[in-house]
Amino acid sequence: MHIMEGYLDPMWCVVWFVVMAPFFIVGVIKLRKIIAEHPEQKMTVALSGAFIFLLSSLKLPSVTGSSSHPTGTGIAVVFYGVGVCAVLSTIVLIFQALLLAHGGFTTLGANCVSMGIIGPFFGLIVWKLVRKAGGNPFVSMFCAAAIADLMTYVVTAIQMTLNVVTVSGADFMSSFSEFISVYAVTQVPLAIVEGIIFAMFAHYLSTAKPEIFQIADENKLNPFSTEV
Amino acid sequence: MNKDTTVYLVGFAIIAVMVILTLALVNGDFGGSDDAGGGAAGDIAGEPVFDENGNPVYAFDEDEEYLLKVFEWVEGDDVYDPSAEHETSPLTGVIFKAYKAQYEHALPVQAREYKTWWNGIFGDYELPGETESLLFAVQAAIGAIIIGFFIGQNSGRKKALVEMGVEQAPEQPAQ
Repeated sequence: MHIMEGYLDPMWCVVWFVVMAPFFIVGVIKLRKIIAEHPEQKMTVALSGAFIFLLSSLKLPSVTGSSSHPTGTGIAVVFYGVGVCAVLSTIVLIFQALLLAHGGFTTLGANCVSMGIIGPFFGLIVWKLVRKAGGNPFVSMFCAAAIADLMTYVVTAIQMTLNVVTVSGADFMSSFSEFISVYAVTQVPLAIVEGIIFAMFAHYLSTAKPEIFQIADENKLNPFSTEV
Repeated sequence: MNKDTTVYLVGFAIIAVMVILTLALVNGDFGGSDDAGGGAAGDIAGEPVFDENGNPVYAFDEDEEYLLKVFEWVEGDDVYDPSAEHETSPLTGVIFKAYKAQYEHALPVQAREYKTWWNGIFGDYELPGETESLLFAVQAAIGAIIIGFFIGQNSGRKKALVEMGVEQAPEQPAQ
């Protein structure tokens, strides 16, 4: 799913790094504050990253020889917000770019923006909305994780479309529909699967560690908030 | 069977069914490049793909220069039509020539010689499939170990609290 090394025009590589930078910096600041002020939450932070590590390694073959995989960003963004999610996603993306040639360093900014920032941000919005509407953790987490996953792929398709539109003057809508259709076949069921996995884990947490949802409910929607 | 067990069993059953259905219905081209933008260039290019009736789903143009994705096969001669409409591939910007007589709605998927402007720190070297699987397994294992540790730690903590009489088991899910 990650955009491959060298695929994006250098101009877009820089643009996506610039977009990523403020979220990443806020995420590092917030992460340091969490560890300093709430050391008891270290395990939950590690858990959030662990889901990204685990789920983004589970690939399914997609059409045209590409592949799709869950993103695993649901818990990270729901508990700690977009910034921390961006940092944790970046760690996974660097791991994959360095050791697996999956994604790349030139496209790290673009991949982080789709998988660690914009996609999860939509998931967080959905979490807040469903919780406000009285949804329990099971339902809220299902919706948040599934939407975060789907939006990640929509953003990836937009990034690739913008690249070909500016580089080769292709039509935006036809390019976008071509890119998005490559993933839609596998990504919709994968988003539902990811939603179910996170919903089951939310159900487990609600019995084993219910106080943990206080962190999620107090988490700010503002991606630039460093409040912990 | 208590409510928790039912939730997990039903959840895993749905996941298993959806994964199997996805694998069965996608009929994807397995293996090879798994990055966005890499699949078409890396895997399909090289060999035409045929559907169950023996008609090409993907094929090359006369010079084997550009890859064509054939949406509709039309019986007839396969004479190259130089007056065919020229279109630009939205993926690469490459202008291709359609075989009007042979393919009614031919569309380019990717230029055969798609070149990225940088091949990464390892250049053209590709990891052997076994090594790649190993590294993906390591990645999954890192995540799974941490999640397992978290669940084990919570389970132990809860058991200890129940034994000390601080907490009652089982607890109702949070609302």
